[in-house]
Amino acid sequence: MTGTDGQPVVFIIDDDEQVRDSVADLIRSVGLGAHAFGSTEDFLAFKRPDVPGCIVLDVRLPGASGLEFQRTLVGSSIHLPVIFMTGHGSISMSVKAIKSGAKEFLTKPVQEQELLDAVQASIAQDRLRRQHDKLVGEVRGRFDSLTAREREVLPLVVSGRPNKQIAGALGLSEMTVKVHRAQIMRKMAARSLVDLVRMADLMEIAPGKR
Amino acid sequence: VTDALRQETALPSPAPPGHRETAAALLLVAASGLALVLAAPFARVQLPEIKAFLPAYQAALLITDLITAILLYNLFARARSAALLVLASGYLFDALILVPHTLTFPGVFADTGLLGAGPQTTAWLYYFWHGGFIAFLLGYIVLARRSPAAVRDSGRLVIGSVLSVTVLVAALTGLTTLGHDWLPVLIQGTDYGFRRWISPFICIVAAVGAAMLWPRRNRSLLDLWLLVVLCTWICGELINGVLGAHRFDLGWYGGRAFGVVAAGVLLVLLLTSVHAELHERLRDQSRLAVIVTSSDDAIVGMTLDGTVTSWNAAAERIFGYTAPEMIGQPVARIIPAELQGEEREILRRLARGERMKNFHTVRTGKNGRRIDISLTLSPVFDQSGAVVGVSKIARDITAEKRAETELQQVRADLARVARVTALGEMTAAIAHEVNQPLTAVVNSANAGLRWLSGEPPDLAAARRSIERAVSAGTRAAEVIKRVRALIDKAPAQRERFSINDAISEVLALIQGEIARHSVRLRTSFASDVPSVLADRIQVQQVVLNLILNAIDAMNGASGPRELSLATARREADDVEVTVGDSGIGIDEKSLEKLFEPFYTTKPQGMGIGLAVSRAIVQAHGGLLWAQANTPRGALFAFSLPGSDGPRS
Repeated sequence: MTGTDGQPVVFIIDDDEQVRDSVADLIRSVGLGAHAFGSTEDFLAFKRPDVPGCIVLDVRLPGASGLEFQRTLVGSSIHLPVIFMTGHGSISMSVKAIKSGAKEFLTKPVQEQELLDAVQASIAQDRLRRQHDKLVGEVRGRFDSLTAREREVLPLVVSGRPNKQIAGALGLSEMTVKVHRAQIMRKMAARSLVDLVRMADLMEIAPGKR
Repeated sequence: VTDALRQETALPSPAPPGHRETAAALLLVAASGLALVLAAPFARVQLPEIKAFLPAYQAALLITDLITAILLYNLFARARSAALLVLASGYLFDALILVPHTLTFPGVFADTGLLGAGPQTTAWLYYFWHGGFIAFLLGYIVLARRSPAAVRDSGRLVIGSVLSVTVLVAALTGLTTLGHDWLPVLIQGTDYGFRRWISPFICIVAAVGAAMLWPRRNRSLLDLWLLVVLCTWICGELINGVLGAHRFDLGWYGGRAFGVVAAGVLLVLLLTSVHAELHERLRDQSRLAVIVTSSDDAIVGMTLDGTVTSWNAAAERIFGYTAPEMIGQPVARIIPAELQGEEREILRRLARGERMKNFHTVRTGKNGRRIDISLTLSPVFDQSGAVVGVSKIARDITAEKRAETELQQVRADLARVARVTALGEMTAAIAHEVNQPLTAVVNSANAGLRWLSGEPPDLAAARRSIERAVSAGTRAAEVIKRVRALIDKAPAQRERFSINDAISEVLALIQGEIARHSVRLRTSFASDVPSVLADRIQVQQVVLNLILNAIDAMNGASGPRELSLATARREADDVEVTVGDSGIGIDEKSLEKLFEPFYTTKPQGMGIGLAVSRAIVQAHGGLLWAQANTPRGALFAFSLPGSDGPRS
């Protein structure tokens, strides 16, 4: 939860130079960073700064369409929110885009305020996502420092079972389980059992049933 | 002509007899000859006198001859050959003279015969009978050989013949009874005596007749059997009159046996032929009847004054009237009132012998339904070639007509769809082209404003933004200009054509559309308009566009919907086309913007049709303008240079 993000950046992908430059100009005029690209390839080749941001994407693009590109993003490591712009959007097209996770679907010529609101909302969403990802990353790092046996014990602990039952389930002595439990709490930096349960939740570790 | 008529009507068959007929005839002749030879030695053997024999025999002969005579008279009435009349008269004579002969025969009705007969009466009547018959037969043979022209008025001739024969028989009866004593004695008791000279003479005459029939190359079947008649008849005469000597001897009976054969031969032939022909005709008729009955087309027979004489099953089905309801009735009852004159004209033309094929018209069914039909009419001729009636074949084309109307409807819909989609695609393309720079203009201008309203204002950034807005705006204008140029410079397929024809084609295409909106169309095509050198399809698109606009404009208006289309020749050989409607009209303000792209007054309009139309017309060196129509509505007109003087 450090949250030391730099200035957010908006990535604009539109094959029309005048359009993408004007959008970038508008975004810079409200104090945000902006990078404009003529194609999705250019965007992917660009070394992105590790700051919150979003993508403003034209639906009609040479090569793969904006919608297709969005689908490839969903399956990749790029989790930037996507705002669509289109010259002639149909309802079915916008429904498709929103269903696959697009943030907004704007029709050209785009209303200035609409675009800026969508950009701000997307950046806020991205910021939240980044914080969440960072937290999960930290917790996972701690989890990785656990021994194999401790990783076995942890799900049973977060399921709320007493040490005696855990010992029975794993064929260990109650004393050994106690030691493991203390180690887990320490390594995971959990202040309480509730804290540990939340971390397990973040890592999507299901409570053990044995 | 005679031969042709014989061909058509002679009965029995005028064709030369086949081998089988000839063989049968010769066999019969040979049998007769053989019977004669066998009986000859016993000719004078006296046989018992059978009282009932003579009246029974004579009665049979009378009936046979009468029937033969009647059939021959009928044959004559059809073939109109004088020879046949003589032959028929001969058979009638043969039949009638049997009456006094039987009545006067001694010992039949009275010991000395009736009618005041003397002893010689019967004998004289016998020779008059036989001699007369042979005379008639000879008359036939001679006349038939000369093949005289057909006689007229056969009916009167038949009556005349019957009367003459009756008078002749009556006269002979009178002669042999009242004048009995002046005639030479022929018979002494039962012995024949003087008549020995008569029978051979008659036989020789008959043989001459047979000889005349024998070599005829084109001998008809009738002639062949007459030959048989003559031969058997001669046999009978020989055995009775020459070889025999007394009444009731073998010769006397034998002669009558031959007589039966002679009389029967022709009757059998005639009856066979009559039967064969009847059978053939019935078969023909039933074949024809089956065709007429099972036809899907109405087949109607009519007299020249329009009275129905026949009405087949399909006619019942199509028009709803049954045959008994229509036959004898004027056909006018299935003709709509406004078409009665047309029917009279048709009948007049048919009376002149003309035919009509696939004439499309309308009839009214029994239930009042109007039926579209295709008529084929042929005059019916009689034998003399005069038109005596009309045969009418009517096909129900209501379904076809409906299909045609529907097809037109579909075509019109298609044209509309094509027009809308073409414009829709164009509009989408133009919208995208214009949207891009427009987006840039708006964004850059907004950015500029923000740079200016910052604290402190970033003037340099604002300047860049405004410069971007200007260049994007310029580009938007460029796009519009490019679209116009595209329409202007579309590769025009110029050809010379008649504007009237081109408009007629358009009208044919959207007839369904016009009808569907209950629009009344008035056209006024000037015949003196010069042809134009232009892209026919483009000009038709303009016309189509203007007409569809007019229909749309009238859709929302109350009152009568009137679409007027006119062409006219203007000065400098210009062609002017005007499309007027009685719709909502155009207000002053709209009139100016009307031709601007994307301007529309219609809820679903694209606002592109008139702009494109004007571009097309201008590309052809013409003008397109709008004005108010009188008394209401709008009037669109365009001009095109005539092809003789195209402007640069």
